[in-house]
Amino acid sequence: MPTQSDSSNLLYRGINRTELGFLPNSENLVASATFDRVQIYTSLGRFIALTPTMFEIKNLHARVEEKPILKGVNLTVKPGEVHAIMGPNGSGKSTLANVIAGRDDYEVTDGQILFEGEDILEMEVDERATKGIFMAFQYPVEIPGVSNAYFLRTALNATRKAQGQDELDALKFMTHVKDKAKQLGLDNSMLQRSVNEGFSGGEKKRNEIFQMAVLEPKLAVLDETDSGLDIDALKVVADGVNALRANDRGFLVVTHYQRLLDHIVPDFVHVLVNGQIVKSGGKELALELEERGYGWIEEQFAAKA
Amino acid sequence: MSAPAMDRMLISGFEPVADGLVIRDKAAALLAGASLPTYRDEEYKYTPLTALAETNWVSAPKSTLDATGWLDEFLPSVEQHRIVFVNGHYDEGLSSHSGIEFLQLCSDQPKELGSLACAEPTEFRVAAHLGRLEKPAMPLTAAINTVSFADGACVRISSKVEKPIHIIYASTGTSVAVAPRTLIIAEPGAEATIIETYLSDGETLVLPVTEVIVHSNAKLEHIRLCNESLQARHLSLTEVRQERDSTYQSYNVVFGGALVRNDINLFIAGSNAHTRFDGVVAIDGDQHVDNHTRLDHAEPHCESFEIYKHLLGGKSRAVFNGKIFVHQDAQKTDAKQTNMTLLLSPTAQVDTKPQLEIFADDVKCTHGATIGQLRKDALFYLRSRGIDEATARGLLVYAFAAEVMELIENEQLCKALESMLLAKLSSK
Repeated sequence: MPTQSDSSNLLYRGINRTELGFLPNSENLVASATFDRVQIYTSLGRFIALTPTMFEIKNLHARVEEKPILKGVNLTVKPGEVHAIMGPNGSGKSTLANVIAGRDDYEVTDGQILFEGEDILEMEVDERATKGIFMAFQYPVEIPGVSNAYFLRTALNATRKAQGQDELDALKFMTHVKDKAKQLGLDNSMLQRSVNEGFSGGEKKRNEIFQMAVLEPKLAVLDETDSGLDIDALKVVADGVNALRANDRGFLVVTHYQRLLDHIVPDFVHVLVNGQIVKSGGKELALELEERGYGWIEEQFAAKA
Repeated sequence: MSAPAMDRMLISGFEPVADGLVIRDKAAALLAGASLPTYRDEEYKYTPLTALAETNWVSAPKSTLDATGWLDEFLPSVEQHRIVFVNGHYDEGLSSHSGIEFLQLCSDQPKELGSLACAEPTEFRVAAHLGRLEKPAMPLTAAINTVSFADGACVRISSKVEKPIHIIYASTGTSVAVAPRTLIIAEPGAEATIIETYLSDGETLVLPVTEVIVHSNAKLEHIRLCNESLQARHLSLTEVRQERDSTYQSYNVVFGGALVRNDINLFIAGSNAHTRFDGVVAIDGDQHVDNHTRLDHAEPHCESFEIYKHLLGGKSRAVFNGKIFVHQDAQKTDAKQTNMTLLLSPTAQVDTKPQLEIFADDVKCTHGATIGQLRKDALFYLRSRGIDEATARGLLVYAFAAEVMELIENEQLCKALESMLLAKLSSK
């Protein structure tokens, strides 16, 4: 793995050069990254910090009622990386996304999900969100009577408050969201509409990406964002996601089909079968799956087991 | 009070007024030999009134209020004409309504224009209008009001009135009985917003009767706000008559009262009239609120929309009975009625009964009733964006009611009522 010595890159590791007031100007920050840890030194070799891995799932087991769905998932996502989770129907893809977000229909029976070193399984749904985890829903929920603008402002200010930032007043907020809408090529008029009410399938998914843009999470989980989208809408959504790719943001893209990954090109592809990640690889794995289906992996996996 | 009189009034604390008004005699006749409705009476199945006779109510003494404590904090952001009655008596000191045609129904000074007894023949005669809308089968509580009301407000609107007219009936004291009486007349082409507010500070029994006449081409927004104390009993009758080409928008908002029963009857007597007939009930604890509405479409080409929303917490209980009668001549009627209830606790209860009777053959009439809890998926969705559970619940509950509250056209008033609703919801 690369050794990074550009101190500007350290910003995304959560360490700001200016906060290290004790450091003389002649002494620069240097990072050395191993697979899942970044160590920060100064140019004189002084050790400053060890950043925890951004996101790490360890031996995760979860069930619905009495039925085990996840049977020992292990996964690490670092800032800037895009991971795709693929797998046949019923393999546990959506369960994984929803367990990360904290939906209480699932019971975690073993394992850990660490986000910046903290176990988020101990956290409430909203706390996970304010820490910087965002899930784009497979089926976004309609909420009549609550405008998108009011909803987003409440959400953004909850996050800002939790992160020790000032809350935005209505004016500053509108500047912020209009900026984001412009970036994504969205129409401002949707801000005044009720959350997802009467939205088409494509509009709902676009609204998810828009919310992501406004809330600026550190980890974005996309739960089958491509489901129910036609080719054009898929392109718009993928463009939105690509616009949000950044050095300090990780993505977990859950999808059944390879076609989304034509547009959102992943760094890693993992295949989830029967509640376990049975194969990992680069973006070419997705193409192979598209060609050969999931059957061969399932067979391989069955043979090993 | 003597024993026979008490017997005749069914409920103590109300004394007959002998001023020769014909409607009083008719109401007295209705009360003679009657008894308070029990749960065996269909119209009172869920709200029997027999317990009202158990309290020893006393006739409300003339009283004054500390305006700075009570009224000034009430809808302070709304510019308004204010007409205040304390324990059923007009309070001039608390009222300010210059430019509004307001008459006291019964005045101590017999020469006053508002007096029932001595209006000049050429002038507007209150007595000629009063009681015109009451039906022979009016509720007994309304009959008690008619026999015993000692004062009341008559507001006549003959042009466009910009500021809302706020009629406040405040009751104060222990076990006091009050019979507020209101007559609202919107003359042809007139336009106004009227708020009728009921407030109290203790265990009071309030039996209001309000009559509203909306003449042709007039537009009246009528908000009825029951914000009585949590020990108060409030049983009201509102009778409305709408003439052709008129618009009447009723918002029946109930936050307060231990026991509340509102009967609101609207008779559409002219064609091409527009009606909104809405209500919001936000209650908790042991509150019991029963709204009976009746809409008569008697003429063709009229449209009415009715939405009643209940937000029920604690062990509260709501009852809704919505009748719509489409008479044989009322062709091309478009009537829509909806009642939606949000149960916020496992012990809250609602009984809802839509009732449509249609005698015309070319009409559009729909009704629907839903009862539900806060949607779990919506709650999860909001929380997944970082909104804490209490705020998310508040947002969903508020959104549920806002659909109706936002229909109030006067913006200041709409905002003020919304913040009252928020305060009521967050006090849970």
